[in-house]
Amino acid sequence: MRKYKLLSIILAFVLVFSLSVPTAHAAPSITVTTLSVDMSGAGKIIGYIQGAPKETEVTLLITCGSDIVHIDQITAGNNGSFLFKLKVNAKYSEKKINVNIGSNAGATPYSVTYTLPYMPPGFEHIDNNSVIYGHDAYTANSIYLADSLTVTDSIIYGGNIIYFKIGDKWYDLMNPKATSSAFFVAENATPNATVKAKTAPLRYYYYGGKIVDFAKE
Amino acid sequence: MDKKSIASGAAAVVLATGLALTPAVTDVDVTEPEVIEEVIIEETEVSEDAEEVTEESSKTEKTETEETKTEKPVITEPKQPHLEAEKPTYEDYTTEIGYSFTYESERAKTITIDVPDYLSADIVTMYVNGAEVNTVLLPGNPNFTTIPVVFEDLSNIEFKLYRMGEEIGTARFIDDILKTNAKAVE
Repeated sequence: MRKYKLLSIILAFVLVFSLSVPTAHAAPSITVTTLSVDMSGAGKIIGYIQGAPKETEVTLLITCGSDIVHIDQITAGNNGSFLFKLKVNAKYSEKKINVNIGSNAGATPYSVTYTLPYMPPGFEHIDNNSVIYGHDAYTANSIYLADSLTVTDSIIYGGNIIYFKIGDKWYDLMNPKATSSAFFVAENATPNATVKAKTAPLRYYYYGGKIVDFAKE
Repeated sequence: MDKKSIASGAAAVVLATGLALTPAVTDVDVTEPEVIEEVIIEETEVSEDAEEVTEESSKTEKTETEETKTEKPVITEPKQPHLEAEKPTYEDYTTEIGYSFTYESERAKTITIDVPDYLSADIVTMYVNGAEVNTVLLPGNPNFTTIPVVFEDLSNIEFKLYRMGEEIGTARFIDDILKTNAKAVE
């Protein structure tokens, strides 16, 4: 009888240890915390690779059917974090895209299907933190915004109209009240339809280092 | 098998089952359950109603004597602790963050901030009046370019610091010094 008693205790301990002994080292894993694309087509994907070694390379591939919508590679930052910024073409408006993220850290690739929002071309395709001079739009970081000749040309072509977009709202920088950041609150915003009418037809979008022709968009 | 041995065997199995059902602790599975704090906000409509009641009752009781008027219940404004809590004190904004400006042109200006490494932040987002200006990845000295007028009145600007998807604090300009309430990893 003692034999059975001993056997049952041994079996119980075997069962307990087999279920509770922790894994020595978990493989790196990819977690995405933010995946968003707004009406302008501006998107960002933020996440981290748990357990990633320093300088892990992270790759992003976004496809829509057989089309490559976006492809990029970056070095992971602190804590294995990554940030991808994208600008999705308006032609993919409301379509389903496949977002794939991989790395050289041995993590299982991350893959998800995401439905893009309504993204009309033209006026609505202008990002936040952009400015319109006349009929030309500029991102704030555009190299052309620093070029006086380009901006002067925009004003000569389209008139002395200057609007700034932030928080999906437009603000008239020619308004005498637009002297500080306190102006950029909803009650001071100009209706989108007004800005759209005054700046139409849009000519160029100086996007970072690129020039996008609105007519060919 | 005698009764004793059956009983001891059964006890061992119960013990084993109990321990086995306890979630295994691994070096990965350390996520603590999210604690959702329930905040009860008193509706201000109550006080408005209360004022209306006082007005109405004062009209109907115009004919009453002074004594009855004094007997009317005194309706005091309900305490609104949530409003007091919203007042920013910035007492916990103790860590300074260095910053500098660069004029790109008359039409663009850049702020560069120096987030201390010991905060282990990995993402910083800049906001003006709550609207996002830009998001950048750390390490390095993140810079944010926008139109110069945004930087007139720095009190409307804030930066949110994130660590592995969790917001760890906010940085604000307090008397033109950029300070954060983010804390280092313990």
